[in-house]
Amino acid sequence: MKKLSQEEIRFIENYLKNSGVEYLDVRTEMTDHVASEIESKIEQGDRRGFYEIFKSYMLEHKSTLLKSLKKFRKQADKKMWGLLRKNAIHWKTVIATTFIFGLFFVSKDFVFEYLSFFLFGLYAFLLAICFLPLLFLKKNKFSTLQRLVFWFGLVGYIFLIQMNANFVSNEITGTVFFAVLIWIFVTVAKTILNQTFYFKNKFL
Amino acid sequence: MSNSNLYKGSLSTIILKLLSENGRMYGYEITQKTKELTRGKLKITEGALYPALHKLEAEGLLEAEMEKVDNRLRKYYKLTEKGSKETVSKISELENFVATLQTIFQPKPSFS
Repeated sequence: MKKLSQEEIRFIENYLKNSGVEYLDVRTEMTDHVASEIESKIEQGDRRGFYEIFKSYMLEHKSTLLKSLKKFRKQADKKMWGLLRKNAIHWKTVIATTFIFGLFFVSKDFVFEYLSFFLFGLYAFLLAICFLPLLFLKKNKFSTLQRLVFWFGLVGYIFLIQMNANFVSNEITGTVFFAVLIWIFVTVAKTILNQTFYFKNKFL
Repeated sequence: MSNSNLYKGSLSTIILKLLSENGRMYGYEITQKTKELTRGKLKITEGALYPALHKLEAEGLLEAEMEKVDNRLRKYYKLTEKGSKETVSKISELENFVATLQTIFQPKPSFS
């Protein structure tokens, strides 16, 4: 059975990328689908050659393919929340949260004294976590990870930069706020790290 | 998918059923198997199939594994334990649905 060459596979992938299929995990699957269909046509005796078969396939299927992209984003969000829920109650998350909260509790007076400095520091840490995938995944975008970074960046910005200082500087509400924040941070950091290495091992 | 909207609600069940019978499958294979089993009457489009597969994966009913095949990566899906249980209940739900419809469209002749 005729198999497509590396160059032909790359052509399909680039075409899909330029058509707006931005996530590599989704694109990889679609590339395999299109390649399998072309190989099947050649196997059945189609003699038009790769580019002609590809062109006619895309003419027929491109609109439905691209229409499904929004659904992928929705499913990626759903998967992301599932992973967060799972990681939030993971023993490693619980231990790390307890440890960091312990450190915070011991140095609570210091934290409240330099509150705005501390909040900016946390946001910088959050952004550093969000940039980790870029470093390891060679600028490739992956569905779940991209959505996670998007939501985390947005929620982190609202929480940390726009947070009402009076609310946080009250000792009781401030302590509860930091406890929840540390828990969320550890959960998200763990999920981002897990996903980064998952995609690195599977796709790159 | 085939033009009929009637099939749309059954897509997840079709995928689960095929995976329960074939172990692990990749997207294109699922479309071809469906076409073969229904003798071309049911054609699942990629625009319907992949979002459905990702939905089932997000719900924890399927798990995926990547494999390098013929110069490219291929994503295989298989049922999780939760997925296997869900398959049984979904198939039974669909069978009940079909049976109910049959009582309306093909009523048994009454001899009384």
